[in-house]
Amino acid sequence: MQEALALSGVSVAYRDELVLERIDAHIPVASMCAIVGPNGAGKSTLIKAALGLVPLVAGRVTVLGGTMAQRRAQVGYVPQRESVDWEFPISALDVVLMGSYGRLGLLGRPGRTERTQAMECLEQVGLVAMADRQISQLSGGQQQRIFLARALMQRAQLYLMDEPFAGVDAVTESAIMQVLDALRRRGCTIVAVHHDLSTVRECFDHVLLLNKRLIAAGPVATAFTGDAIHRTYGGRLTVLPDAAYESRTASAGD
Amino acid sequence: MAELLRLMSLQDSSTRVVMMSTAGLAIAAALVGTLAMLRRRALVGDAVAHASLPGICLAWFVAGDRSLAVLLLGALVLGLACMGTMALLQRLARTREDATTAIAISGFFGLGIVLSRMIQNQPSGNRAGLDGFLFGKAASAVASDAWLVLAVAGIVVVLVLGLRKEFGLLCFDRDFAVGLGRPVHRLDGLLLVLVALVTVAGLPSVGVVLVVALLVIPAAAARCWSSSLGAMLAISALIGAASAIIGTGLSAVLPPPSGAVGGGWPTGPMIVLTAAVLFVLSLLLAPERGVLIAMWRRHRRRAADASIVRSAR
Amino acid sequence: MIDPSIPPEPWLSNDDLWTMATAVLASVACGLVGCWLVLRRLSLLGDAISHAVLPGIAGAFLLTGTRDVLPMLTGATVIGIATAFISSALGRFGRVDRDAALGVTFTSLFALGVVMMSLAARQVDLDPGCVLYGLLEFVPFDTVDLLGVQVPRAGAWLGGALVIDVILMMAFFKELRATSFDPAHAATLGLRVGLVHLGLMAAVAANTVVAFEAVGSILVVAMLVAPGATARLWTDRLVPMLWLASAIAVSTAIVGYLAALELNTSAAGMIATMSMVGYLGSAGIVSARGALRRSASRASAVLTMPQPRSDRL
Repeated sequence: MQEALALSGVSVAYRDELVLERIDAHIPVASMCAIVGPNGAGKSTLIKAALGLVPLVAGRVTVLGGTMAQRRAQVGYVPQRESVDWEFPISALDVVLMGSYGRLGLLGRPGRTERTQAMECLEQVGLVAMADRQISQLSGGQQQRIFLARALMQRAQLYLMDEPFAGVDAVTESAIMQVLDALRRRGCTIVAVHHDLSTVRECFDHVLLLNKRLIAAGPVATAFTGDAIHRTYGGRLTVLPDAAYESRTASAGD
Repeated sequence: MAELLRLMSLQDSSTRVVMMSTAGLAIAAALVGTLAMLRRRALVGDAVAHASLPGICLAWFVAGDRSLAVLLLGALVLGLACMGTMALLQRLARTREDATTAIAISGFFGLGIVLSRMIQNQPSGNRAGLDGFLFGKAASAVASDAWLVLAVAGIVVVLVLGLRKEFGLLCFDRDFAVGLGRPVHRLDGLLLVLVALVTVAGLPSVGVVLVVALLVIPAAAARCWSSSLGAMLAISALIGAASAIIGTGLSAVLPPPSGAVGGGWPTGPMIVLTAAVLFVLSLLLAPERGVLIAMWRRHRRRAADASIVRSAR
Repeated sequence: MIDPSIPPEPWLSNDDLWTMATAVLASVACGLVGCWLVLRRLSLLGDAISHAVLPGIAGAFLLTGTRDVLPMLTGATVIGIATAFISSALGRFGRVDRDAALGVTFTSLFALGVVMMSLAARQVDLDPGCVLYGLLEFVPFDTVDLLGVQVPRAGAWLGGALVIDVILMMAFFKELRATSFDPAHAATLGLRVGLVHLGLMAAVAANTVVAFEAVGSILVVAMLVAPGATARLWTDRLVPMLWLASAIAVSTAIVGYLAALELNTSAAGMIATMSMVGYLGSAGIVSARGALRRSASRASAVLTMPQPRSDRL
């Protein structure tokens, strides 16, 4: 099976502190993989490290059999909604058009073809009516879908998404899910940071449990076990006395 | 050489008073600046300083009396008006803090230039006094003015030290302070008034353009040394006082460059440069967060990582 | 020399028109570049760069002994870019917030520049005061021959700067927009985020220097920030914002210049004052309009509601 994303020995540090420690993970092509872990586990950092947005202290990232720089055009990124300035004077259509900027080259500019494509992407996420709206006028769920449409515009093979379901309602979530399903049927790979443990089983086929180190990884059926979840969240999901928590993490750590 | 000795031994009473007032002011500014920086209002003082220029000019127009106290009162009034305008703009839709601050700095300064040129054009106009406010001229200050500055600095220091706990709470955890029922808005307002007071009091010695340095540089330097409020206040006061004394001393003692007509080494910039040197030293040498220490730690960790990787293979 | 006590003979002389044209060019060139500073919330960095170019200019002057534009432009651009880097490095290593880091950087560099200039004061034509508020009135006295027409040297440089600004902005519009809106995503597209930032900083520094002789280092901030910030209040679209900013820049420069002529005062100061007035006025009108619209829609909501709910917020 070919690998869409392979991390070997990836370590990342912010200032003097290691936030990711020697992560080894292999995500097969045409899978749908959730990255799960508590706050501060390094989930967003893992996505950014894979994209080359944060420097690695050690390790290597392989994307679709090549380096990130070689495969840049085949990788789409959906950042967290909070990461940008939504007051920026730009329309929804213009945001989607940015997805084509990579293939347009240095002096190229989006033309009629790109506009048609962008409208198609907006249609897939159900936001054609919003094309000319200023982005600050969109609701949170609509902003999230605009980011998705921008990633679709990149026509990538691998999509890395940082919390695509954060702050969206159930209707939007299922709409996004449908788009992602369609992508996977076309052979694309999706890696998404995910917060809702209850929907991991129904929405994803692979999972990566993370808490600064890799706790477990693999198909949901084998890797997403109660024990692994417990080790990932350090017992914080259930109400345990501190002593029990301590002994648990101690035994999990070694 | 005799001049240097006389200055350093502080025998001359007017030099002594001027030095004391500059140092006192620098201490007050460093204390207030530390609080303002922690409250993320580091550059408010810059806007106030620039707004004080039209204030000085207006006072010149309005009052027949051209004593320093009257001019500084005008500066204070416009400085506070500038803060009020900026606060109002914050509450209006869609204005951005950074743009508002930049426009206030430049716009008020422009107004000051307009007014000062009009004063110059008046038959009785003599702008010499106003030009001193641009870059400051502590060395030539008279003793009565120095006492005024010292008094303002004293009031500010007493207020900051007296309300240290309240200000600390405000800076580190505003919401918690609200929860405790502290008068947060009044404290915030008081902090801004203190910023305005020290800024205006610093104009005669450091000048409009650079006075914000007295607020910002000692505070930023102290941040390198410590994270506790008490220690930061003490260290920044120390750095402020040292900059003022060394800077004033240097500008008085250094021989003017050959053929210079501008009166040699300007006091305000020399104080700021001294503070900048102390800041760079703090940045490099601080024991916990210094750059040198961090580089050494990183080097050690790299080495450790490399050995782990080697042993794993 | 212009004797300020004699009013100009015709309402606008030829020299007045050239001066006004120079002011307009400076305003538009800075205003267009400044739009991107406003969009990136870097207005205060523009303020810092315009202060910090001083040692670059003074250094070029001390080294070459002339006031040629090219050495000054080079020196100032280098220092301008250095300011951007130093302040962001201070934020990282010194762990102070962005404003404080900027405050430390630009006051230190500005102080250094003032000291360097007072060392060079024997060549009297470099006056620290003029650096602050420029000498727009002297623009027509320094002309160059351009296609047989005597045009002010400053105006020719500013015209060139404006043309280069516009060409670069059109060529790299896509890159500027994407890296301003979402730098992380732009980087994953393979756009050179760091290079665009560097280019923008270089453009800010270069425009500042070219405009600076005419309007001075503090007033140039108004030209950088005010048109973009004011235009942003009126429109939510990027391209209209750039056009509107240009129009605002032109009209501010003209109105400011004419008002200064009428009151016989500093034109650069008046233009900065007008920039601030325009910004304040726009903020007032736009927010009043917004409040009106909100209350109108609230009223219509109440009217169309069949039964007013008691729990309405």
